[in-house]
Amino acid sequence: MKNRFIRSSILAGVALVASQAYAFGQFAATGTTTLSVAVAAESAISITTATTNLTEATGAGIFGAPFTGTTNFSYKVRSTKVGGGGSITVKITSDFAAGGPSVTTPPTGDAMTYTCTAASSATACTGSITASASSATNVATFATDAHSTAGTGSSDAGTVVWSLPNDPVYKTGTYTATATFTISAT
Amino acid sequence: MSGLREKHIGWAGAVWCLFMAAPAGVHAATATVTNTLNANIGAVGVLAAPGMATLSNTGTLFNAYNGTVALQYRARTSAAGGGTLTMQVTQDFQTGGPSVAGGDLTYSCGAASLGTACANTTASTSSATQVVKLPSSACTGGGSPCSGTDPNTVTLTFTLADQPVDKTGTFTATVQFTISAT
Repeated sequence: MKNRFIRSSILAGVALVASQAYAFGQFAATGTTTLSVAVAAESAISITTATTNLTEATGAGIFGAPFTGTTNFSYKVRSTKVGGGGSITVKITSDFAAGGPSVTTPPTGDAMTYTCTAASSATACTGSITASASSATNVATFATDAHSTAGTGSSDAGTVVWSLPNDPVYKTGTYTATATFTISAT
Repeated sequence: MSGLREKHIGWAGAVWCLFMAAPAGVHAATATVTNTLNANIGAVGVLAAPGMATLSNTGTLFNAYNGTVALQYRARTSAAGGGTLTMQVTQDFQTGGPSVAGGDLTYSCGAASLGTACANTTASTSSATQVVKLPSSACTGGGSPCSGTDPNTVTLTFTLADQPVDKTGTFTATVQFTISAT
C-alpha cells in the first residue's frame, strides 16, 4: 500500500514536471513565444460639444429663422471584414419642458429636425431627419470593413446640426432636452 | 660434514623467514598520491518560454490588448562578465492587423528574480531589445551569493494598441527570446 502511494506520488511528480516542460518548452539559449490577438468589430463615440446651444440667427427678422445649433462628435469604428456594418443613431431621451418646444408632441410644423456630416469612414444621414423621442434615428451608417483614422488617439469626426422652429406659441424661458447618441458596429 | 650442511640449511631458513616477513612491514607504511581535478566552469545562460500567449482587451472602446509571458531562466556569469536576456519580434503580425514595426507593441517587465528587469519598452522587429540585464558574478539558485530561486523568473506584460484601422480577424506574431552570459 505504502509502495503504491510512493509510486503514485513519483508518477504524479514526473507528470507535473513533464507538463511544466511542455508548457515552457526546453531550456535553451533561445526560446520563442507566439503572440495571438483576435481583432473584433469595435466602435466608440465621444460627444465633444457637451451642451449645444440652439440660437436664433441674428438678422433673420422676427420669427424669421429657427433656433439652430451644432453638436460635434468624434468616433472610432472598425466593422467586420466581411458582412459587417454599423451605425450612429440619436434619440431624444429627455424632452423639453412643458410650455416650450416639444419633440414628443410638437405643434404642427414645429418638429425638431437635424442634418448630419461624417468622415469618409461613414455615410452621413441624408437630408433633414425629424428627431424622435420614441425611437433612435439615423445619423450615419458604416459599411462592411469600415475603419476610422489610423493612429493611437486619432478618430474621425462628425456633426449634427439641429433646427428647432421658432414658434410664437412657446413661452419664454430656457428649455433643455437630452439627445443620446449610440454607435454600434458588427 | 653433515653438521655443516645442517648449519647452512638453518641460515637459509632464517633469511627466508626474514624475506617473507618484509612485505608485511612495507604494507603498513602510508603512500600519498595526489591528483589535480580541474573543473572549468564557464559562463552560461539558458531560458524557457511558453509556446503561446494570448493578448486580449475588454469592452468595445478601443482599449489596448494585454497579455503576459512568464519566462524562466538560469544563468551563471563570470566575475568580469555579465549577461542579457533580450527579445526580438522575428515575425510581425499579418498584413491588415496590428504592426510591431509600426510601434503598436510595447512591453514591461515585472521584478526579475535575478538581474535587472526592463522598463517599458517598444518591441522591435529589427533589433533585440532588453528584457533582463544580468550582473557580473551572477548565478542561479542555492541562495547567497546566488539567487534564492531556481529557475529564475521574470514576467513580461505585452500591450498592443487597438487601432481602428486594423482589420478584424486573428493575428499572430512570433517573439524570440535570447539569453547570453559571459
